Amino acid sequence: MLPFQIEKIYLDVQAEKDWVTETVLKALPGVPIQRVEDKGSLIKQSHSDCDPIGTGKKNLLITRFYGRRLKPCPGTSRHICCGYYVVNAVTNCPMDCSYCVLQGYLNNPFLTLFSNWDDLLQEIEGFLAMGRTPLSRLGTGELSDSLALESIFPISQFLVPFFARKDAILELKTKSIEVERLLSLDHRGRTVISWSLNPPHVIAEEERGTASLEERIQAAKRCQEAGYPLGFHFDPMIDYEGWEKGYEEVVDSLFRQIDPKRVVWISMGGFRYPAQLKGIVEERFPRTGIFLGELFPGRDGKFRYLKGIRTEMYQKMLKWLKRVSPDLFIYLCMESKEVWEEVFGWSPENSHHLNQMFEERVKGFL
Amino acid sequence: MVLVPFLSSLKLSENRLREMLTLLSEISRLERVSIKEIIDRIEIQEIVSHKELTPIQRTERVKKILMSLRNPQMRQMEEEFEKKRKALNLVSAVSLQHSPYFEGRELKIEFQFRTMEEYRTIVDSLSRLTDKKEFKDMFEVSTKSQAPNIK
Repeated sequence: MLPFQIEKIYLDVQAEKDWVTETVLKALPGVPIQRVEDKGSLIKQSHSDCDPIGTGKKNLLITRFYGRRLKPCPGTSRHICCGYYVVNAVTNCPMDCSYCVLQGYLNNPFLTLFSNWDDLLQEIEGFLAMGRTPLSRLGTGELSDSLALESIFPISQFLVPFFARKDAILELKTKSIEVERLLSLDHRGRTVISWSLNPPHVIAEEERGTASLEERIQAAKRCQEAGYPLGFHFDPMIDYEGWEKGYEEVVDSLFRQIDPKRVVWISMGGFRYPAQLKGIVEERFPRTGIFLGELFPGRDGKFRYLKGIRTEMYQKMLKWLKRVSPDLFIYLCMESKEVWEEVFGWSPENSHHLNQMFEERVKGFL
Repeated sequence: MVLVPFLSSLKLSENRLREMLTLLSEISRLERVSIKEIIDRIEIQEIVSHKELTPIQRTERVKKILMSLRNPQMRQMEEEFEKKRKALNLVSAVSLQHSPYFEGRELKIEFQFRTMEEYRTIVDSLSRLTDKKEFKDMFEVSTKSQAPNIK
């Protein structure tokens, strides 16, 4: 049984003969299929739906993508970023987190799987062959949840063995427990499985269709036992009444099950959003509490909590995490040099410097 | 019902109206009080019933109060900064500002002058700022929130 519902498949005629399409259709027997000659019109038409984003999550579009799918993470201007690369194998996500930036970012609201898979592997191969960055970090969790579609198209089966032979790191970032297929793969430590974590209160209120905290930790434990390096992302951290107790308990619960020595990185990032997101979210989730914090536009135009609030959240998390192990590699996502200094007492010089630190960390970990 | 007399005492464009309603709704959720209880606050009622204020002035003042209720930590940082700025006794031609929303550490000083004499007076007064405790303290306000935990 799928952890989510697909009501209809829109099949681009150009993707009909691809083996990926065949695999997906086999995994979704009985789901109505509509052939699509013009996906542009389909996408345009979808915007007249009263909730195109919500509807799009239940409708799978299988199509081809001919542009670049491997790109530097856009990060954000005038802040320190980590030099990550994003691989867009799937866009959109069946989960429905109220804070998800994709709601205002993607023009195509459909859960979309690109069927020209071999082109993507070639693109990654070409990128890695250039050797631009030693031990590049690539991830599929930017425009979707990395493991969301495992039950209908097991991306991990293709990517994990592929990266096992490369001098690069693949990160599969998820809020799911879809790890069964990963456990027997030959990963050679080149794939990091990572989870976004939040307190149960935030998961229940704001992360619809995702696994519970305890389930995520159990899934991480299974991956740890299978020898995978693990990552954790406290991002977005939400400022709510009782956040201190909530986040401290997440750290405690996590490390009751997880060996900190097997954790390659942990990120922290406060809730942030571009201005246009608020209207979309309030329309879809009128009772959401995520905008009730003191949020103001920053140097990149994105709204963030007042700096003093963010630094307090990061400092406390850092204290709780370092209490578990002083050797944990902890970084901030999309934060300024000033915030780094206030939290850690030092800062990477720039994004390049942070990228170098990641290289060192990964080398020491392999 | 309670909103109509309140809103009609102000001068609101469509955007301003939306902004005001958002503020009221968010304060109501944050403080767990009704919108009527917010509007009935003495400081708001005093403005709304002030006959000598124009609707535009009333709107600006009500908005300022609502903003400070909505963002108490920001309000406290603004107040502390303002207190220190006043203590510097800057000449009126000089303005001193913190970074937008206190996001950065930088402070900005601007001044205007018409004569060499005015220029000299201003520059002399600015050069003495570094001796003042209040000026040094401003860097503290800019770098950390000194607001109490409101939760």
